[in-house]
Amino acid sequence: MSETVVYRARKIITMDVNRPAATHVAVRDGRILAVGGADVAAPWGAARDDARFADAVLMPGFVEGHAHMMAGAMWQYVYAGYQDRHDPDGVLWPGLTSIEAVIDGLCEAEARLADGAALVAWGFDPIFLPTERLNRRHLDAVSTVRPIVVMHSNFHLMTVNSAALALVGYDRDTAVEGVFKGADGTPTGELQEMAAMFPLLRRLGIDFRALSRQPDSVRAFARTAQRVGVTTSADLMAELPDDDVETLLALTGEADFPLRIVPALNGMSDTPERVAERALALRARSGDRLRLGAVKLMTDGSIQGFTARLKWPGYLERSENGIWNTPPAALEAMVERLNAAGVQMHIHVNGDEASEVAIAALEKALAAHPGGDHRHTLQHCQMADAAQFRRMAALGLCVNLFANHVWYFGDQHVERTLGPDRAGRIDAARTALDHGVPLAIHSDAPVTPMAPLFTAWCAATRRTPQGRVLGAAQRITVDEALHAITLGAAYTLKLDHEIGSIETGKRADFAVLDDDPTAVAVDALKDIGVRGTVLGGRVFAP
Amino acid sequence: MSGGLPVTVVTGYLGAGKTTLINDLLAQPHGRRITVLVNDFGEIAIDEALIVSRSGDTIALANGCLCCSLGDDLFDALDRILSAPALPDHLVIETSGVADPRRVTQIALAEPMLAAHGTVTVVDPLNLAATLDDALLADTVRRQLAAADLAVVSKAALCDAAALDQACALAAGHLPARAPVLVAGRTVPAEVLLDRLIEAGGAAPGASGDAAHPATYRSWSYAGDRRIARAALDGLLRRDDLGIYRLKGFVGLDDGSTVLVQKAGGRATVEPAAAAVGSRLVAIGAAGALDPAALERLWRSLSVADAGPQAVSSASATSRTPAAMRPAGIDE
Repeated sequence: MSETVVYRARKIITMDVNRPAATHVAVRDGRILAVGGADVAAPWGAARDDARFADAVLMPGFVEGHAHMMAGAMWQYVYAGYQDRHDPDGVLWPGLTSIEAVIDGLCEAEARLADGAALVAWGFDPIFLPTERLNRRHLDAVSTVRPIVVMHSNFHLMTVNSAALALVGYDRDTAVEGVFKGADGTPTGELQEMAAMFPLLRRLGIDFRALSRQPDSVRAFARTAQRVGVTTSADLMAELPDDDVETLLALTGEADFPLRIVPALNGMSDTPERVAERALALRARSGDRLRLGAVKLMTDGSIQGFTARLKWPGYLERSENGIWNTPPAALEAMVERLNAAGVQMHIHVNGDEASEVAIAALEKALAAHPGGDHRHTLQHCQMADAAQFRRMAALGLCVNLFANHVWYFGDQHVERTLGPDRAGRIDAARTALDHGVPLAIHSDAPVTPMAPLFTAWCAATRRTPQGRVLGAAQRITVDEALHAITLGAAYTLKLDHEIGSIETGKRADFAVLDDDPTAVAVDALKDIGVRGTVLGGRVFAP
Repeated sequence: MSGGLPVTVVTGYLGAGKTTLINDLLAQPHGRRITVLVNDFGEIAIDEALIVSRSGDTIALANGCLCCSLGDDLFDALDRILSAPALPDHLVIETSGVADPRRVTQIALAEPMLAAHGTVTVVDPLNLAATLDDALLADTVRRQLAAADLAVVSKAALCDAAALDQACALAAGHLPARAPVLVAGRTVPAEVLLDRLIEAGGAAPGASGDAAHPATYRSWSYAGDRRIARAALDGLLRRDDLGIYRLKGFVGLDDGSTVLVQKAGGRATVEPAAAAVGSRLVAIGAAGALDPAALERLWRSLSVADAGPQAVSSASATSRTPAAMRPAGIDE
């Protein structure tokens, strides 16, 4: 018979109503055998006591319902963001809080590079450095010969040095919308959107998507998740050719691989018929730590990029509406077919016109093929109002709200994109719960850092960098937020029967915390230290 | 950069007729190795006799053209094309039905290896009014029209004259002044579609801010086997009373050779052309100055039908005035 291990903890928050708190959990064969007090394993025979978590708090392993594998790949480049960030190996990269600090950081990184290699940095966000806009002259101080690319945190912008501009021939005569020019008529070094960035990316051999598929990137993604207590994460848009599936199966099959990954197949890559066929075939190839079968669909762009589709009155600073990634009629056809085939859909909707179109498509599809535990989930769904949540509830849809947006982009939404009224109800977690819509909240890493306790803090406080409480009425309680990052997210991934709570029969997936999230002040929620995880009974923590 | 691979963007809402236009373009005897990046690979219906090979996402034609699936990522596809050992002569990018074609054009303007030749917006006269009335789609379709350097009205044969006029007038209201409107006949000649519709830097020809640049255009085009004597051609090119602003194409001479003809403003060039492709000519001129019907009559009086089947003329017109949309010469 396999060994039974009993972990003792300062406190175990189970998310199981039958026993909300405990001090001991017995684990056998990677699963939870029993939860309770010191004698928890007594009915089950011999057990070994393990006191390594005696002063820690255990929670169900956190579930990140919307992230991207790219979050691991980025660490092959230099971090240049404003906030402190830990790399997958736990090394702290202090935030660079002034242009001078950015330059110093880049100079340090430059000194370590081989001759001829480009210097690539990421995570930069000019919104936090309002005094002066980073430009090519700043970067020329780092190097005049080596191309330098500073990718902004939203991946829609980059700032480059003169050597990089020369490489693609951008000069005062260049007439490309995304090549910004200064008062003197020469490029500032800031390049916006892929059209302007693409010539440089391909000359420097930078391909984030290809990079994301490398085994090292997958491992880095898993370590990134492990560090913040995540034991299961979605990778919400993957192409999943056979080679990638083989790689992922091999990697996630390694005993010391610390993450369960739930990739969603790109639903726009082929006809709905073939996508449905592939999704069902992929589902059959799932392993314990690689769960395949769901599909991701796109509708619109992003609010901060002015590309989300908004209903009236549209954007504050722009008269044009955003863009469709998928024509509404085509979306309707896809949704109809995939629902009929029994394929779960995660549908990207940012603006309220996009969520409305998606809801209408699902209404039609579910009328044609009702029933079934579909768990179709609207992803981001940042602008849905109460009426849309009522329709979602009627259809049994789930929602995964982009709670981190409140902190990262909330002030921008008040001042530039939406205005105070609609900004105050973005990512309306309270309304979702009040209407009984199953709720998850997410980071969209690497767009914002993966850290579920931070995400929970965003949903519970709705604070912004400028000190606002953005829509106090939409705050949810800490308990509700903790549910959203465990069982709630597990439900949207159709895994709530296996993970998301600490109860007998489920996988022994734990987040190991320094402190009790339900006991600290709500503002301290985001600062609770995470020691690591337990995944399927295997400890990934000191 | 004028030395780059020419890029023509073909846009239009779902079902507007982009694929039909592209299928027809690939089948024309234009003598160019065109690579077409298409959105809807399944819709491409090329005559099997023209296909030399087929792989997962590429169809190779006997005339050197390639038809590639754009797949999920335009940038991946472009990188593959630009990294291949040999570049095609021309790249045509069919945008998705909801894409903003300006973004695609920006790529061609930004990438030094590419040269933006302009955007062709295909307009479906049967559905235009409905899409412009659809609150979810109107702005998408308006953007596609606003991006046009040339508008091609498809499905003319399925439309009665009044409906066609109405659709053309509706489209004209959203098109930029620089964009000629071609009511597509059986075929839109490659020379018309692939012509450099914008100057390097993205401006329309003649749109350099001079007040004289005409606000509306008409065009006349011909594709067929008619031939002309060199002296008659030179005489035609010297004429400055025809309202021709630009003229371009291949002309079959009566001695059996073919020449490439270009005229812009008062300057005309005639060069020997390698491939004999018959005569394929397009002229653009200010509305009110260029008279497509008169030009058609002049061309027919100066040229002679080659021995063989009667050539198909495809004079087309363009104007802000719907009444002038269907000149006598239109086929179908």
